[in-house]
Amino acid sequence: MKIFETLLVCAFFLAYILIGVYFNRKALDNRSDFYVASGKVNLPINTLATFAAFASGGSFLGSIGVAYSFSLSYIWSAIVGSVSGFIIASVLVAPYLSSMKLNSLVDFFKERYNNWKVLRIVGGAIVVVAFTLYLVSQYKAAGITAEYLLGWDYVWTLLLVTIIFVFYTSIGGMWAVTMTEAIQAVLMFIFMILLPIFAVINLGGPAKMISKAIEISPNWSALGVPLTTAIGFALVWTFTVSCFPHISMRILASKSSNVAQKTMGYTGLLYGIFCLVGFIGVSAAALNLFPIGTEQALKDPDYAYIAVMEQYFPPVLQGFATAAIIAAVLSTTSGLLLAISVAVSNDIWSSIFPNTKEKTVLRIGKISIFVAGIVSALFALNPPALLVILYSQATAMMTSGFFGPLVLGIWWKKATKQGALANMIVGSGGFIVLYALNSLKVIALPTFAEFLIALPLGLIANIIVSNATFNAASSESQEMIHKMDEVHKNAQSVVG
Amino acid sequence: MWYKLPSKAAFLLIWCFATIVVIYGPWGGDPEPGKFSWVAISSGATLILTPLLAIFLSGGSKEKETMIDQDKNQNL
Repeated sequence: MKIFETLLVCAFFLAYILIGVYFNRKALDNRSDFYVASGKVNLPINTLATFAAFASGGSFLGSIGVAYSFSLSYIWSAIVGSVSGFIIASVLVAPYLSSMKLNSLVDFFKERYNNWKVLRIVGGAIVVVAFTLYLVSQYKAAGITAEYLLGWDYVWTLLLVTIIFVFYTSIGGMWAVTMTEAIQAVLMFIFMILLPIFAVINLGGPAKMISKAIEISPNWSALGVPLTTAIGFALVWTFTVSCFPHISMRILASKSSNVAQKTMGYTGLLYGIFCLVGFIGVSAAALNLFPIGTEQALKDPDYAYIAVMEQYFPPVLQGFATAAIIAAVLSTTSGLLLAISVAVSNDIWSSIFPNTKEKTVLRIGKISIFVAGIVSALFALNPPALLVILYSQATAMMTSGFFGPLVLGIWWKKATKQGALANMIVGSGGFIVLYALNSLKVIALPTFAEFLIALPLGLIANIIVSNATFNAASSESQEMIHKMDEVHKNAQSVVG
Repeated sequence: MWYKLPSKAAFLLIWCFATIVVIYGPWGGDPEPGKFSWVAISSGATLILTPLLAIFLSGGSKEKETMIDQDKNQNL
């Protein structure tokens, strides 16, 4: 076990727990306090927290590994999509969701679609399934990373991570999650940018380092995949950012519509700089130090960041960089736990038992954080094969069903609850069918094609059913149009 | 029956999808040996330019925002 690194990581874990305890003192009597910090988070903190919630351990491990061993441009297609996704969320979704003062993304469906229970339950269930798989992958990544970097036992790491994250998330709610994510973001950003600076100094300047990297691996800057795959990869993330429930909760936690909109823009910038500088610098340095196709080549490309870090960072910085990688792996975990909790208590339970007292709903939410943490840790003990693919597909399944009801619900007056349900069934259900047929080799679709088919199919189903069921004269429609008129008036008067 | 998209938002929306088309258009091609490819240069630039553009265009009115927040708090 590496003593210094272990102590440092434990110190950060202790800080997260103390933050949870501190924020437990803030009034956590109602759902708005617990799930969205009563919409009082300011721009700098919200930007950092959104960045940390979005940038997972994959940014330090998998993505740089792909850039080193395959192609920088290919992995950047996902980043271009993600950055565009933040901007699309900032103009189409953020100011409007924020001005509605909700507790969750599914709460939007409740407000917009006449409090229809079916829609809330289906929406909540999609979130629980997709995010439990996502959580399993985060736990697995935490276990593997701690095992490799710190020499910790995989099972004990899972246990420790579960206890810490369940504890501070369940007692401190959104405030604790926000403040810990902000700390994690600072750590991640500094150590992703610092390593390329050290590498450039040691390798004789950026031009020399980059030309040598291209000389060693000419594919590094080329795309290396069919254009449809690159565009599909970009579009998956372009549409997904708006539909991520833990990102929506950050929008809802914003102090105002303007802060919500700006949070998305600044997070896009932060993430863009992080991936631009970090991915070029670290993968080019790795190619200089461990050329592909030679004996020095890294056996596991995923550890490119760690290999370069061990070359250039002094021991103290290595300790902090280790803490940064662990922080990146775990920064999404608390947001996911909170998103699952709100789906169970606020969306599913409150729909089935609408007369439940506020404190009981909150208690159920806290219990569901505990249950989700334990269940995911148990799955992570023996994780399913191809987990990354499974959770990526679960996310795409969720986006196929949610994007239409969310965006059409905000921008189209004729969107109805029946149309939204049709969108969820055809979008998410269609995705599952296509994915199953493709996996069973009944059909042969290129990577990401399921999403590119299911998303528009869901939208078309929504438009057809909404057109068929919309009745302009009904009091229900009139009331809804009036409500959305107010939302647009408020949001646009602030954001312009 | 559609809400009107503010002009700045419409511009940003078009920009986001247009950049994907421009970056990954058929003119990308393979890079010359030892040089950065068009795909790498344009996608790298987009990572910074797109959010900068959005931040530049997303100026809000602090005064109106405060008024609306006060109204909302009163309604709660």
